[in-house]
Amino acid sequence: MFGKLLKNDLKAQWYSVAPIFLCIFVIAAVSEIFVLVSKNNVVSALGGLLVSLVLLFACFVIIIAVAMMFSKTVFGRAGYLTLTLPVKTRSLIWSKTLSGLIWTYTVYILFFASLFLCIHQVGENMGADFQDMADQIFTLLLGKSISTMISMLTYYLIWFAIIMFIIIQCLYLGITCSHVSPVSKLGVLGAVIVFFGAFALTVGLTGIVTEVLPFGMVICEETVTLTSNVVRTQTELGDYAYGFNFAGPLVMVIISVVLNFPITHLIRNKVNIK
Amino acid sequence: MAIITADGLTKAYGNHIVLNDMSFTLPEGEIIGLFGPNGCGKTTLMKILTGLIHDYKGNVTVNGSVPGELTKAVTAYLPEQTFVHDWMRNIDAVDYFNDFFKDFDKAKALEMLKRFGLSEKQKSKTMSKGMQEKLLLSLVMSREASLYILDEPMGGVDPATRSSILDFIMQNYAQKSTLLISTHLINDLESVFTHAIFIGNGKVLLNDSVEKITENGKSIEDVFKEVFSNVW
Repeated sequence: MFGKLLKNDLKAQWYSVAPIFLCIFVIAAVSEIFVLVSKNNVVSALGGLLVSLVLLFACFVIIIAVAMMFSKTVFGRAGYLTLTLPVKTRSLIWSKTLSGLIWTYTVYILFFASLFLCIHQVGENMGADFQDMADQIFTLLLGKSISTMISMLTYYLIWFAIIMFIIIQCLYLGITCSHVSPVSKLGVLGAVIVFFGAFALTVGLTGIVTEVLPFGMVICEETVTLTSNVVRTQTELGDYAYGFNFAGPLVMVIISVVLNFPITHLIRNKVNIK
Repeated sequence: MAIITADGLTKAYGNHIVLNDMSFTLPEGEIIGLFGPNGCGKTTLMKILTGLIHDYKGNVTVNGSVPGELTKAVTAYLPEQTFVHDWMRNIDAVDYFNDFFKDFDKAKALEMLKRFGLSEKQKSKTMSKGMQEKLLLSLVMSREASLYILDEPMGGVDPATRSSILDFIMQNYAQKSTLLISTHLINDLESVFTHAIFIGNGKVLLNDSVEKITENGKSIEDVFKEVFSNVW
């Protein structure tokens, strides 16, 4: 049944995110035409920059679209259908979280990919100085060998998915609380307060745990070292070592999973669809 | 056997008590009319029975279980409002029901859409209120449910369409199942009811078979007026 929920949620959300993807596609196509037609390097570079900016904007819009879709399908009149399905409320929320995560993650990955392409394009078109700058950024972000690059990229991709996960859960908690007394009296402001409150609490807690449990990995040049103390190992290995804590992301995953309980509880026991 | 039981059912919105220590049973296999003036808690009661409201006091069972995942699988609910998602075309709504309700008959639903003159490709948000009601009715009545809960199924349609919708409901509900219908249009539906429950002031004021209620020659509407003239 969860598969069917997810399929239908992805389908439902597609109708609200499709215009965003269409917009990205059109602007990317237009800027690519500019790049191909124009002999001017600056225009070509600006084309790439424009796509990145549009994607950056899409990153915000997609979050709003996912939040609105959650609000509509659970607390709007469509809630009469959603909440009378013979499925567990917990599964409903998980399905909406996962589908929201898939769409937001896709846009954010597209954004970062476009950013890399943009840096590359600027480097190619703007001369040696920019080429050097681009090379430095690539070196800084991606390490020096394929294996370290894959390790870093994997870490960032997972870390990023976790951040998206917690943002969506906090968002859903905010929206849910805004439909329950006494927060409902504050309307959208109530949702915003709960969202930022939950998110700040998560970040604070993650920070504390990261300090208490500093285990993770350190990437230096071409080696990846697993360590019980990231800061210490990083200091030992020198300036070109990059530390990645594991406890922080782990705590965020746990909090995200735990947040599902109050959301489910409130929807099941307190919310009354008008 | 009772399909619905309520024991000490109380539901309040803030300080306003809508259902006050209500206890009743409703028999299986009947066509039950749920009557009461506006704001007496008919919709609230239906929401409790369909598992949409959980913060009530007392005990409620539908088909022997507390309203939840199990009862939702055997209860077909038609709320007063359109509940189909904006993005859905009629065929999407049919597929959605087909995905989640094991007792849903897709072929029957498509046949009903045809009968109502609704295109499979038409989007729900582009349809009139009457067309949307027909779509919802097609979806709900295509289920082989044990219990149908219909909240004002003819509230938004003209008198000419009412009788055809009533015929439609009577022809399509699964035999041996129970129908619980709330309505203000007692006259239009009087002939089909076999059981009636009147609620007002948070209490059950009358709960009996239509045969008994009307045995002294009064119609349900007469009894309704009589009961509620004393209450309100």
